[in-house]
Amino acid sequence: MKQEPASIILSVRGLETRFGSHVIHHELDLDVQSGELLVLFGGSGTGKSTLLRALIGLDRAAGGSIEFEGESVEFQSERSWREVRRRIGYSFQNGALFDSLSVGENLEYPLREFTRLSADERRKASDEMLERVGLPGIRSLYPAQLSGGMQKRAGLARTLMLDPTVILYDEPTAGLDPANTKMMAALMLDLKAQGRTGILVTHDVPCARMVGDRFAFLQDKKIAVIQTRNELEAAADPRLAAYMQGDIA
Amino acid sequence: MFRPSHLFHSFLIRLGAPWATAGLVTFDFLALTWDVFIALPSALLAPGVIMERFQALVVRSTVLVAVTSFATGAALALQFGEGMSRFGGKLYVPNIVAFAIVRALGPIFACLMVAARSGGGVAAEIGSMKITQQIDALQALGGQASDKLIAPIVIALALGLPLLTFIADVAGITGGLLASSSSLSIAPALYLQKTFESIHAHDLVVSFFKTAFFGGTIGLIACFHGLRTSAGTAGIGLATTAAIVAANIFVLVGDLLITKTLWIFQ
Repeated sequence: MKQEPASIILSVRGLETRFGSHVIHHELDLDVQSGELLVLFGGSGTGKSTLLRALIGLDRAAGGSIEFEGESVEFQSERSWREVRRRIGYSFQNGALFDSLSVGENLEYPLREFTRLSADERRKASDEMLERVGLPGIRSLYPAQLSGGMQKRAGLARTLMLDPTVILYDEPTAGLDPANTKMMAALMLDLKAQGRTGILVTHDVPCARMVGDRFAFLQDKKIAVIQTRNELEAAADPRLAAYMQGDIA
Repeated sequence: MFRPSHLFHSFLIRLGAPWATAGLVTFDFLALTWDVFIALPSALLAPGVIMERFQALVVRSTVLVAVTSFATGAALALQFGEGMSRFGGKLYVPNIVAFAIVRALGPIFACLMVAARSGGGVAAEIGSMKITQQIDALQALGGQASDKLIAPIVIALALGLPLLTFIADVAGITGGLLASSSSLSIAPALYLQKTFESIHAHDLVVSFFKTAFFGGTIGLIACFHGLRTSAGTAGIGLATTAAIVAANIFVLVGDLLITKTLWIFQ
């Protein structure tokens, strides 16, 4: 049976990002297929998180283009970025929960910004989401009262409140114990099974192997190589292999 | 919404030369000021948030402002009283104290105390939110720091500084009165009479407008430095220091410029 070519949901062409005069990415191209979980590997300081941030305009690109679901993102337009942020969720490394708000209020925040749901509806939706990520009954707690793993899961729950098409995971398992890592990986697999696209930035090779469909390696300011899981297992690119074996820091 | 400012910002970043940094900082501050100005109407629709900020930044600064101004008024009275007694001018002390407190020291002390206490606190709070990615999260979830965080702070300080200035004026004059009556043997009734002769409504109105402007700007400066925080927890200390120093210089130099300008037009 002939396989349907995967549709491209996110396309990056010639991306350039910089901090002052320091160039982070130059002429970077990347295509993300709908429904896949793309793992982004790279040594420290190669700009993996910066790439994720640039995809939703947290770091403004200095050049290039980004196309999301066939529509070009206007870098200069705050409205265009707002629309992108509604559909691309960002799961921050440590959850980035607002520490002045309770967990429940944190989860309701995106609904306040983007929807006209009533207070009861927001509360119901946030309670359901907490249940889904395995954190029932913690809505009245404040972030400081949660463990690191719980903060990450609550952060992911907040990201999911707007039902995003694409989720950007920034080091979701960094600093977690094995049980919490397993739980986070299971959540990512569950979201992938629901058809959500993901881009995962991580140094956690076992977790990446568990959840990833394709594996990209960022080097010299651009994506140096992308391999599917099968390609990786059959004949890993030397750069990817070296990174995964710990030979590239 | 298309913003040509982004293009100018990109241009400055592309320049990359060290001398462009100052231009970039100035540009970023002006851009933040514009964003906050645009956000003011929507921030006013959330009076609860403004009141929370008012309570934390203004109401809790009241004692500090009152005590410093009281002490300053008393010290002024004693210093001038001692000096002017030699020339038989002791009875001018209430006029001098009232003039100095209402026109210069009351507003300045209120602003400096708020810049140190509240401005420093705001810079630390926002700096901490910055390094824990809460500011990024706010943006990623559809919000903007300018309307959710900064505009309420700017409004609270712009409304609160005139109030604190009034408290500073009253405390300073009270300090002068108590020092004069206890150490210079000036009767309180006479002291008050001479004080009211020296104060004009125009002076109060100018100082209230001036401090409202300074209050809003202190908020902007504090938030700006908070948002520029980097380099982890050490960066919070640097941002706090930078915010307090910048706000104090702005208040002192700004007051001088306003005073001189009013002098020319009077």
